[in-house]
Amino acid sequence: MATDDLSKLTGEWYRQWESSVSKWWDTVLEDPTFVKGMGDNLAQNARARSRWEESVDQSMEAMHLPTKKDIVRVARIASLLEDRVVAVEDQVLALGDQLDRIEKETLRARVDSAEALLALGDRLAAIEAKLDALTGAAPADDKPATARRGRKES
Amino acid sequence: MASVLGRTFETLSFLADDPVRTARTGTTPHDVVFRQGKIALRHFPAAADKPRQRAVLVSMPLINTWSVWDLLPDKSVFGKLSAAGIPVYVVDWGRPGDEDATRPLSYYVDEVLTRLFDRARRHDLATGGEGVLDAIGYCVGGTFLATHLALHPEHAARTAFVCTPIDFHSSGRLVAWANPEHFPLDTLISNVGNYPADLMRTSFSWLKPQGQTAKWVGLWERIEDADFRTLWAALEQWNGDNVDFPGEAYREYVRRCYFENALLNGGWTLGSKTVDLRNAKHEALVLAAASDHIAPQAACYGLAKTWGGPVVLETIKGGHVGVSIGSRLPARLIAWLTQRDEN
Repeated sequence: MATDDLSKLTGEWYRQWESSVSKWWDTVLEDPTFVKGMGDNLAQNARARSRWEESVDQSMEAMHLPTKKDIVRVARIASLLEDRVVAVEDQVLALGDQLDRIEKETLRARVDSAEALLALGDRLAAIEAKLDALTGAAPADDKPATARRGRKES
Repeated sequence: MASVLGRTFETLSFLADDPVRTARTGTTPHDVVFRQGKIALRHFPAAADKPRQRAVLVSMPLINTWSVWDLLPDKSVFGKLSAAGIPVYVVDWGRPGDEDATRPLSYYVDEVLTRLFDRARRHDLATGGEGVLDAIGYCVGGTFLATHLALHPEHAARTAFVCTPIDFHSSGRLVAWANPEHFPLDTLISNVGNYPADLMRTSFSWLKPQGQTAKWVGLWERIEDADFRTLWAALEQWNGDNVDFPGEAYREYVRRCYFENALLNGGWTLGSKTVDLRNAKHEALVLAAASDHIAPQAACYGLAKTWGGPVVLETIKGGHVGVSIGSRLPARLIAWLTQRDEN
């Protein structure tokens, strides 16, 4: 029991400490002097990194070894090349889409034309049937002989 | 006293085994369906025993690795979404190198995201999906996604923004620091190329310095809890695994978002296109974290002021990273993403 109490006490002590420290940090971290100092420090840090990299590059150059800039240049070329390959892949996919669309449209047109042909055949058959019926029903003396012959031939 | 000493000893023994280095994150089974350089599109297939839902593309932040949403098998947002029948496509930005320093922000936000949406749509269609995608953005990944959808609103049917800053001038301490008067943006990028990962890590540590002691005290207090130890190590590994932010993209991101608050104020031309969030007319869900010190609620809720479609605003208990490992976030996302089936 006593050990549990001690652990709890430690936790409680920590939370009180954290709460007071948080308030202190809140005032410090948004203070304009701190923010300006942080910015200045960041700028100096960036310049120092740049100088360090330059000096490493100079040493590599002196040893006739490829510098970081050389390696970055090659990597950049490789990455731009890959971009182009992927762009070509995009175009191939887009072309594939177009082909699919054309194929679908062609298929639809074929089906439509076949259906139209069938419908036309049906209509023609119906017309022929009507004509046959008409010719069968008409009295033989009313029609000129040539016309009758022409109909039969067709 | 014995307990305090024993716990301290146990904590030290745990740390002596270097658990952070050996922690394994991002272990949920998935495949990479597209790769362009270091950028990858990861696919977590929908569980076969659940009715298939509409696929979702998740844009993760460029400043860390994608695995924060797949930290441990039982803490994986991706795992939970896919188990609910939602095919998940994750944008993994990879680790930009010095050769990427000159890439503009439009490369990532416009060119690459357009391609990833396209590849995800094609893959979804080929695997039996409807070829229509919802989208989720987390943190800076959400800001990228919002900017992308302002240019191409037709790419997503609905979008959820998780801890995504839009009103950057309400970003608390970060905006006080990223002040054009004091923040040496041009000097920094001109000298270092990419914004270095170690500086990024240090900046985030300084945002809340007391968090550094809190994490050790937290470990000490819960050292007997094996699950907590595993989670602590995985989180520490992810936390220390920042990536470099490509320089020119960073320059434009900070200038437009932090200096000018351009997502809200307008006047941002990306490449040759105007960024205007009013172009996006579809439904958006904004999920802010109650104790977020990186993207506070006001910064996230800024979307409602500028988004062209209906916006639902909600706040989840937890911090910026804490929401990623809790159960509330995946539960809410699943409910929202599968909502249309109930209507």
